[in-house]
Amino acid sequence: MNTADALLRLDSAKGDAKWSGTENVVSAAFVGAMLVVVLIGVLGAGALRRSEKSEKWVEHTYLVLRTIDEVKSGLFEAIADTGAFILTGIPDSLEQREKALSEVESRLQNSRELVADNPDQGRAIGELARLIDARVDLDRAAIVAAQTNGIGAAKDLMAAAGSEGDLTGRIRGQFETIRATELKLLDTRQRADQKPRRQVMWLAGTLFAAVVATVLIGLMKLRRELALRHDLANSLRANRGFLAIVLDNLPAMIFVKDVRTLRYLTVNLAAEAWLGLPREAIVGRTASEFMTAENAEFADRSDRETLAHSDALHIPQDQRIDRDGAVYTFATRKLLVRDAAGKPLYLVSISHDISERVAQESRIKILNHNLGRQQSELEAANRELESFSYSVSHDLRSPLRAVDGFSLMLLEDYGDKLEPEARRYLDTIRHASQRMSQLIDDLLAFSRLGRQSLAHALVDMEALATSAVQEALQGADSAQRQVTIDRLPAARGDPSLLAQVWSNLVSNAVKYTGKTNAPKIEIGARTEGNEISYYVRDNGAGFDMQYAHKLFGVFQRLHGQEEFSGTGVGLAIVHRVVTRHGGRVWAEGTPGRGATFHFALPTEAAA
Amino acid sequence: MSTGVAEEFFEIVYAEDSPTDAEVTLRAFRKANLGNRVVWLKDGQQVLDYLFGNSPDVLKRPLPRLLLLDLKMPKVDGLQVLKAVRGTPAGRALPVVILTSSAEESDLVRSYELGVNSYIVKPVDFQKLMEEVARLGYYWIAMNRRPAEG
Repeated sequence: MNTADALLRLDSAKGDAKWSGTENVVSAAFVGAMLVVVLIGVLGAGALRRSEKSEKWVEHTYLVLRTIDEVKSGLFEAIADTGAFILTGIPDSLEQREKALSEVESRLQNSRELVADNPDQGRAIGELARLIDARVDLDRAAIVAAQTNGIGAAKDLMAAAGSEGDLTGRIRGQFETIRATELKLLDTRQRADQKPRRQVMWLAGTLFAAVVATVLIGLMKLRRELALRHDLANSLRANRGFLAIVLDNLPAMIFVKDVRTLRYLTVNLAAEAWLGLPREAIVGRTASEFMTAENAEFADRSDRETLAHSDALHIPQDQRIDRDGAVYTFATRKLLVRDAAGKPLYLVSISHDISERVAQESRIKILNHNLGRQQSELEAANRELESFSYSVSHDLRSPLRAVDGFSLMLLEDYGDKLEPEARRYLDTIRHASQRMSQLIDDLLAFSRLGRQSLAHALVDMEALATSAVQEALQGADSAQRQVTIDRLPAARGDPSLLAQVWSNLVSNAVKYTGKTNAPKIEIGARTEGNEISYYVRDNGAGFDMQYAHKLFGVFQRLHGQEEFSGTGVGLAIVHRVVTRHGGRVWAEGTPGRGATFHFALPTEAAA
Repeated sequence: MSTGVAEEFFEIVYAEDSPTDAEVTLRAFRKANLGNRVVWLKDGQQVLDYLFGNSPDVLKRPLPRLLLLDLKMPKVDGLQVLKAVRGTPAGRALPVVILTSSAEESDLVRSYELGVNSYIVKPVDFQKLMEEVARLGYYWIAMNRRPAEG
């Protein structure tokens, strides 16, 4: 039996349930037909009995008629013998006559007995006997006359009787009457027998027609059902093929067991493959006959559970070891299949190999755990950094203020007692401490950038650039500076951080064009692919491209402090802000000819 | 000018743990002719003792005209002092100014939440600090008006 056969059987069981209606009709028709046939048999037997009776009546009638005829012939023989004696006088004739008469007497007696059940006929025979006696008496008188007085006397006697011919005629008439009566009686009797026989025949005919009709209808129905069953069988065969293909191509292992014996009815290809056994080695056996002890034990336990508690048992994870010792994890579902009457037939077990998923989940769990640990480490580091920068801002500034303050106090209180060179030293101390304070501030601002969370708004870049220009030109000799700002597309990002970018780039441009004749600053933008790039171009001091990679580092400066002041944090801030927005920065420059700083941000769609 | 916990009355109470910062600031007050109106206290606990005496919930009278607090101090810090002062009915009318090295946003936010009147970041530049302190003293002592003490 292959995989689909078991299921095919389930299907045909369902088909039978649908079928029983038609089968009832057909079997009822056949039972009805049988009953009718039996009935016809019974009726036929009755009819036969009646017909036998009727034949007896015929026989009886003919017996009566024959007896009467014998009476008649005996009588006329006696009469003929009488005549012969009278004419010839031969005594033999008298003997003949006596014989004939005794025959007549006995036949009459017979006929009386035969018609004993019929008084009318009895009376008719009595009358006949009387007439016969009269004729016999007449003959006897004629014989006596002939013996004593000769033939003439006998003839005279006969003629004198006169009525001789008449008497003979009456005897003949009486014979005919009896005969006719008897025949009529037969006719009546036969007619009485034939009436029920016709009824029986008619009934039998009707019943027979009904049987024929029933059987014909039954046959037609049967034919139709047989055709249907044929179609059903065809479609089941097709289904079986379909099921076999589906089952054998499913990645899950499928086992079907008989509920009573717990022996396998079928398995699919996936199950064969995992067990490393052909189907023939599995079907008809129990789990313990070919599985490892653990696997068989698991199968039995879950089977019992399914049978005892539920129609469907779900086992989310079970581990099994295959023949090579490899550990697999399966998700198993056990289902009880019942017939139409609810009786359990099959135990179907479906097992998915979820080893890969389980392994991945455990890897993810480990990764998540590590990630969580790293995150808390990172948070701790951030907190440390925060408190560090807090100390920097608070505690480092205090001694600096003392250096500056006490230098000034020294200058104020004792300046007149110091050499000019000593006062210059004190000025240098103060200048250095103030510069260090500036460095601390910039460094703090820069480190804050990395921790600060990013806002995500639509930012009017043109407005930011414009206000950065206004701010940078305050206090500078803006009169001869030429600044152009093109139309700038809006960007998505953190408004205050992007303002810082503009401010740093524009103030740089202003600063580095401070020593240029006819300084020019151009601000513009270009949209290319998934990003918008903005630029600030100046015709100021510029830089050597071989140092371009140093531009955006913290505290990196390409110019001396005497030439252009600054801490070297501004471009580092630009770099960090743009990078945090998912963008990039770059610069082009030529010493003495100017520089162009670009930054590109992803467009809204890309962001 | 006086240092340490004093029973005398001063118009300006100045809390600062760094002696060098205090010296610079007090010099600024002196130059602004406010030197003898200032008492310098070295931590928050001394400030609380000075303001409250033995009763923890009631401020001593009369109230100073200005409380000048550093944020980071031993024992009790500036924000805790601010909170204690604002926790009394009379303390709400006492002008409190934070004078600190910290420009951290979180410190600013916390100070204003607790009801500070002004928050000043100490400049490293000594001259600027002198100017700030002089302006501060002048504003709170000469210009500012507050409700009459009842």
